[in-house]
Amino acid sequence: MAQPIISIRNLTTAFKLRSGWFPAVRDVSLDVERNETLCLVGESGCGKSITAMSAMGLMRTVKGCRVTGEVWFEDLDLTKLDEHAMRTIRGNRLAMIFQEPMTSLNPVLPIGQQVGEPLMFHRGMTRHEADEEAVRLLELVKIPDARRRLNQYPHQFSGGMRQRVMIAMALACGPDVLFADEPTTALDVTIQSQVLALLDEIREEHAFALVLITHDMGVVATIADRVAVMYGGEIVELAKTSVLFKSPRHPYTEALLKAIPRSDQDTKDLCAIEGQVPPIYDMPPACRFAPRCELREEICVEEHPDLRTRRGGKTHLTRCHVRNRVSRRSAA
Amino acid sequence: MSAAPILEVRDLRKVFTTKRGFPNPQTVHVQAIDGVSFAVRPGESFGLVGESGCGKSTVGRCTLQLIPPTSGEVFYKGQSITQADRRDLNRLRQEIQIIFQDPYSSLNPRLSVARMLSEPLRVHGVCDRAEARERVRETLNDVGLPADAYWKFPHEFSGGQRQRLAIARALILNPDLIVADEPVSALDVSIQAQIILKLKDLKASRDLSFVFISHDLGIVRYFCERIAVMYLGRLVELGPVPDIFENPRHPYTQALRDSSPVPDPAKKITFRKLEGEVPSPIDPPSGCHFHPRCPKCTAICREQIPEWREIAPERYIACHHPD
Repeated sequence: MAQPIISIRNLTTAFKLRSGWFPAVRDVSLDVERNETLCLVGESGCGKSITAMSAMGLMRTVKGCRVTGEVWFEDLDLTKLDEHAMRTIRGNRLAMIFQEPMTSLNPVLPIGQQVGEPLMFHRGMTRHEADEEAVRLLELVKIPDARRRLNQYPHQFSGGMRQRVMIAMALACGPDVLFADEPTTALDVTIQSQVLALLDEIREEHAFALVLITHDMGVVATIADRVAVMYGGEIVELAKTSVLFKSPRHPYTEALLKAIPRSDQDTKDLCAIEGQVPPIYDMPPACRFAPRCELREEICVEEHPDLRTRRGGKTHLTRCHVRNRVSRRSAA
Repeated sequence: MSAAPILEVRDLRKVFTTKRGFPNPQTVHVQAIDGVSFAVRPGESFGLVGESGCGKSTVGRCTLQLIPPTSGEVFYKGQSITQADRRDLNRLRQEIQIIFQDPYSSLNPRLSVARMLSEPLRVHGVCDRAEARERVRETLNDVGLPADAYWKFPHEFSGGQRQRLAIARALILNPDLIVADEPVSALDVSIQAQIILKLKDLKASRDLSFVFISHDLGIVRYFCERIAVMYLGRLVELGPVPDIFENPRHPYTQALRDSSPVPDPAKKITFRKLEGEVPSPIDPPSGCHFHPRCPKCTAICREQIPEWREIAPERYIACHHPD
């Protein structure tokens, strides 16, 4: 395995509620390589966005929030950096795209200034140089008539175009890692496919690492090289995309895939997952999926499972007592 | 056609007027629905799909007269809804109900479940209090909510449970037709499947018909028997579900199907991109609305509105160059 560009180690982000501290993200470890697309997938509240925000150092200033663990980027542990040092990296070497292009752009600044700002801040460009570069970036994300649109405001752009502007902003300084938090969720399918194609193409060309957060298994199948499935703040399964979809090992992943009606073939039996995701203040202490799991055994409610491979395997990790044990027996 | 349709929409049109511009606002007209006709058969789920702003929700609301259409007619079991007077309309609304997309804004936070669900019974004078209580309890059970939900308020429920409440509210009057406007779009995948299965189950046990509005092709394929595809206020294609998905003949239907991501990396969507974006309904393109994005566009597409015609049995299309 090549040297990962970013390496998240035992990241835990806890929030303070009335009755104590509760982790929204627990013990997440992830390595992402250059030129790779990793998808973080899960339902709302599973901690996928918080993972990315914590890695970007965006949670440290939040009151009632505590981040522990390490985030290694090159030779730096980002969690140890002070805010000043972090600012030279964030938006420069690490960039992020948010879900809502409507709220993440400043409505009273022209697009050109917003795309040019990181260049002036990190690269010390002049206004004029930044404008020139902004035109190039807007052309890169295929915004027609870029030079004229430089002076327009966000409300003059459609949803898809705004998301392209966000991508251009994120790419401004040529980042090594790009976090994209549900970048296409607010878009229609025909526009979604355009934006995904664009992201894929640019990632290929600029060889950065793309961490894409989504709830849509269809998007995962389309764009990801590897997938991390999250549930209740933990990674429950981590595998190559082709492997995960072909032979999901964690019961949650399996159930999730069976709960999606498909547009390309008839779905004979759709299976819902009964119950709902427990709130963070009421997480089961052992396996967090146990109350909804069909394979539940005694050990599942007593002991917290580790995220590990089966014997002999290297890249397919699962957090499940039952599935990891069954395999050991069949391998023997 | 086998049986008489339960709902028939004929040449429905809706124009919204709005003001645009600053500092001198001008009145502009938005043609939200531009001549839509279809019929829903008894016991059928009729899917209405399209991207945001194509007018699918407006069609849903016009069928219940929640928004009065500008022109065109809607018939329910042969009786005109658009011509109905207040009293008739009241009666018709017992038989046609709607489920909205967002279970957070569509439930009154100050009404308990008991009041919320018994209100329609009281308004329509269906039954006395004791019987109403009984019916509320039955309906809660039918939609899969626990009996102790009776005295609770909406904020005590999760998103999926709220949508079950919305369904219960639609069912309480024993309707024959339900207009479901993106009923599962706000929900997570695992909850989505729960609700879809519940609706399918209720449809069979109560012999319901549905107008099912959605942008999710997978869900429509699972839930509906026939489907109509809308683009910018007009229907572009209509037909039985398996046909439309296996053999779409309108270039827009094809593009829509091909850009819907499928959870299977082996079938990676080809990124067969549809260039451009949906134009504004304030200033729609001439001729066929789809022509600026269409790979098959020719001169006639720019000039003439394609006629809505039956291209094969049960298959309707509006395109100058169908496949």
